[in-house]
Amino acid sequence: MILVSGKKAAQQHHTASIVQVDGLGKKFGGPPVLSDISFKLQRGQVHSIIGPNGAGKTTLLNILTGIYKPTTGRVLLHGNDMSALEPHQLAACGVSRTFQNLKVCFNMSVQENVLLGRHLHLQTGFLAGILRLPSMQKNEEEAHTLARELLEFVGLRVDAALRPDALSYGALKRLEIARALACDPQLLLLDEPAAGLNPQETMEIKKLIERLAEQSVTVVLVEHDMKLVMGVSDNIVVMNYGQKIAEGSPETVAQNPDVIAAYLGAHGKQEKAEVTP
Amino acid sequence: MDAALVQFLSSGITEGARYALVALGFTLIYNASGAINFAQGESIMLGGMMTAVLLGIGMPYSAAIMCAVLVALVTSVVLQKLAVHTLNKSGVLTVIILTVAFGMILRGFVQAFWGTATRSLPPFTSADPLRFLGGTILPQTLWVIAVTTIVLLALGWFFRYSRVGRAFLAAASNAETAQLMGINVRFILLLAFVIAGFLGSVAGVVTGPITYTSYDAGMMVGLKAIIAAIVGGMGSVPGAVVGGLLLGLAEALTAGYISSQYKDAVPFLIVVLVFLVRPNGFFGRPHLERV
Amino acid sequence: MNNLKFKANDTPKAAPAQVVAAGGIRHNSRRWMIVLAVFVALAALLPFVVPNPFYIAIANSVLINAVVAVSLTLLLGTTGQLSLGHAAFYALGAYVSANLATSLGLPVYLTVPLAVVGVSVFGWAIARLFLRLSGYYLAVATLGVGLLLSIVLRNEQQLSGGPDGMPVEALQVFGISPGESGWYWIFLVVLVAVIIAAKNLLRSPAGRALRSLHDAEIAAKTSGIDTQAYKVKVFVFSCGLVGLMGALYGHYSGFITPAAASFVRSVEYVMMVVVGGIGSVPGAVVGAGIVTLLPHALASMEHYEILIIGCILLFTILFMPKGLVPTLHHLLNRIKNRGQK
Repeated sequence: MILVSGKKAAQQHHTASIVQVDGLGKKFGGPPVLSDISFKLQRGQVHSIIGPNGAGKTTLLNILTGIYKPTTGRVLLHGNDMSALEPHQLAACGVSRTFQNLKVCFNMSVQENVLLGRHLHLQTGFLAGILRLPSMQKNEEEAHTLARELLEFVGLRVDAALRPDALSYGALKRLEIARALACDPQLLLLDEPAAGLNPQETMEIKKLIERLAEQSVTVVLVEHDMKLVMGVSDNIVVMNYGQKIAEGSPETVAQNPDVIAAYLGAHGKQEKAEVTP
Repeated sequence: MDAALVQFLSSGITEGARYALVALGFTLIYNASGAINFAQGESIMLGGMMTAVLLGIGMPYSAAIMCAVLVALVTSVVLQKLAVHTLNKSGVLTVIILTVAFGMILRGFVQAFWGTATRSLPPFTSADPLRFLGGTILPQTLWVIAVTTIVLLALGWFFRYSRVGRAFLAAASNAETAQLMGINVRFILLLAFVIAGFLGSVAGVVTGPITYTSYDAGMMVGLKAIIAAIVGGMGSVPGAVVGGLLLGLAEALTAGYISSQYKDAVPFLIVVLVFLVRPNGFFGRPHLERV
Repeated sequence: MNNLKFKANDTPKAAPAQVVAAGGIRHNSRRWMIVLAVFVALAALLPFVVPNPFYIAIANSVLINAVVAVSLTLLLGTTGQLSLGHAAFYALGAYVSANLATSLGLPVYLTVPLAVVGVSVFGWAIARLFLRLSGYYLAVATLGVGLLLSIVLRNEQQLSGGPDGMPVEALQVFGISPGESGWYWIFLVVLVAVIIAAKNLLRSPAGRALRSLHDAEIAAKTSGIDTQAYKVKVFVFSCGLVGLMGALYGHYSGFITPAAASFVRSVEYVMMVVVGGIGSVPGAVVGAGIVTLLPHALASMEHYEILIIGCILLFTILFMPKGLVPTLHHLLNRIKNRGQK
């Protein structure tokens, strides 16, 4: 159940590209951090955004989730201009994300962290909460069950009543994903989900992303781990110095001379061998 | 000039000097640690009260002043130690509450041992008012102006030209980089507290002959000085001084020309208005959050 | 209802059971209901065990302060907003109710709700104007507003009776004045209702939204939570509760003075919350008890009062920064977990 207007819901079924980024630019009062970024996101596909550090990937992600507003250009979700929306409004339109620097609430249990993501589907008023109306309680029961399922889905087998400070870093990353999934997103943005994970954990993330794509969730992945990116993406956008320098399938991008140059400059020939799938 | 205006201006400068020096100390601590020191006003109280108490037991004036300042410095060091311990353990909100508690303890201590009666200090030179610009002015007010100016100039020289002073400014704007460059950030914090204690106690001593002092003289001054520092721009050293002086003048002029009943309301009204219009004060830097 | 289907047989096998540190705090709703029931039982016995109205009056102060402390701990413990002017909202509630009763001749059962509405609206305005300010600035803004209000109350004779205060019409239930004991039951019922309301709120989706603001506001936003709206709501809720207690206090004591709005009082309320444990509802009640009873216990050592209170606050900050109740809770869990091994 996604809280979009009827018109948007109708459009959902017709267009295959659900997000269109159009000439996006961002300045913070100095040289532009992003300039003229344009691409489309196809429904149910995994898109990766890669590029050296400082390329503007996280800024782009923040604009897509309403945390920053673009200086120029716009973002269209199902044909509607979403550039001016606040993060919570975008969440209501089915956009969800995880964070590079984990934003987990350590003052509530694992279960409650996941339930935070379920917020839009619950009765969220003060009065409903204080009076504990039967309808609210029923909602909560269902949400608790869903939270448990989600924790299973991301492979987090822990006592959900415990606090997150007992979890490992990899587990916390999965907790964030569980929370991001709780709102039933149609667009999920993952900000470096594999950072700090060992190869086995990264493999789990890869499988997780594949399972999501099977269920028509559009995934956007910002990542540095090339193996993961090449293995799971349908489409890759490469950025450098705030601009898009390439876009295409993994094979296309891997052979793109501009991409190789951008990475070779920072990492050397080693990277080139990794980039080729 | 109108005699009344001279009167208001001179009391405004006196109050303003108190606010300026306390606000300055407060800003130094804020820059060095990010914490708000709600006990800052107590340094004024200690300066005035301790001098009065020591005079009462027969100590010569200059010795009493020096001892009072020393007491203020010692309490500043104690507070700094407690603050560092708390900052590492808990967080900034807890440090704020710590300073509130510390201020209470200082007030309570003075109240317990020396009661609630107000005391005053004898003027440095004479008590006879001098003719000045069509009105009269107390010689002590000239002392206030002179001492405040000297202290500010000395501090300015210290920050500009001395090694430690420049290190202080560096640490204040970016503690991590300063640490990497070998600057002892802990020491800088200690220095901040000590200077703040010094400034406050000096202000208390030099204005003591004009305004009465008592165990709770510091609390309101502290609150208003915090406001002066915020209005001048949180973290801005010149802003704190200018803010303090202007606040003192605004209070005095309000008391004189508008209503003496609402004199105390002036700083709080100003801060509320400033927050509505310019949440960072007039000189402050805006707060950027990194995601 | 869900678009996503999460099937158990899809899940990865390899993820080992995460090692969980012993001593994680669990939330047991049945346990706190028992604690509450015990508290109510003990509290109900008090007027019979200690019938002296002097002591009942002290108990009444504790009950009133407990509600104020709970409302402040809700504010501070969830969103982290420090209000240094809460005493002003309390006094405002009292004065509004008192004025409505005397000047408009409205009965008390009308003036009290109207006062609550009035204080809530005022709180709403303050919140809308100042909640965009970051941390300390909000604290200083509430400080400013609180002090302004207290100065206005001191000066405006017509509205407030000036620095000496004004008499307030006492509450009469069917023509009879409740007396200390009667008020005791009223305050006890209010406190229990507020405790239950606060606990329910914290457990609910709204409560989770509030609690997320402390650690992960940005994650709350991207999860669909309108964080500004919640900050305003909890501030208004807190003000409303405090205004209610102020209004009731006025009709209880028959008199109200501007001292009720003072900065010192606001600090006392914050102390209750800090000593008891920020964010802990039982902590707020305990903290209120300690801070209210202390001056009475120290009646002979009045001139040491501020010093001792300051020392207690300092002690709490240094050795029990989480507050009394959470620290005890932690210790009990530790002991229990060690016993289980």
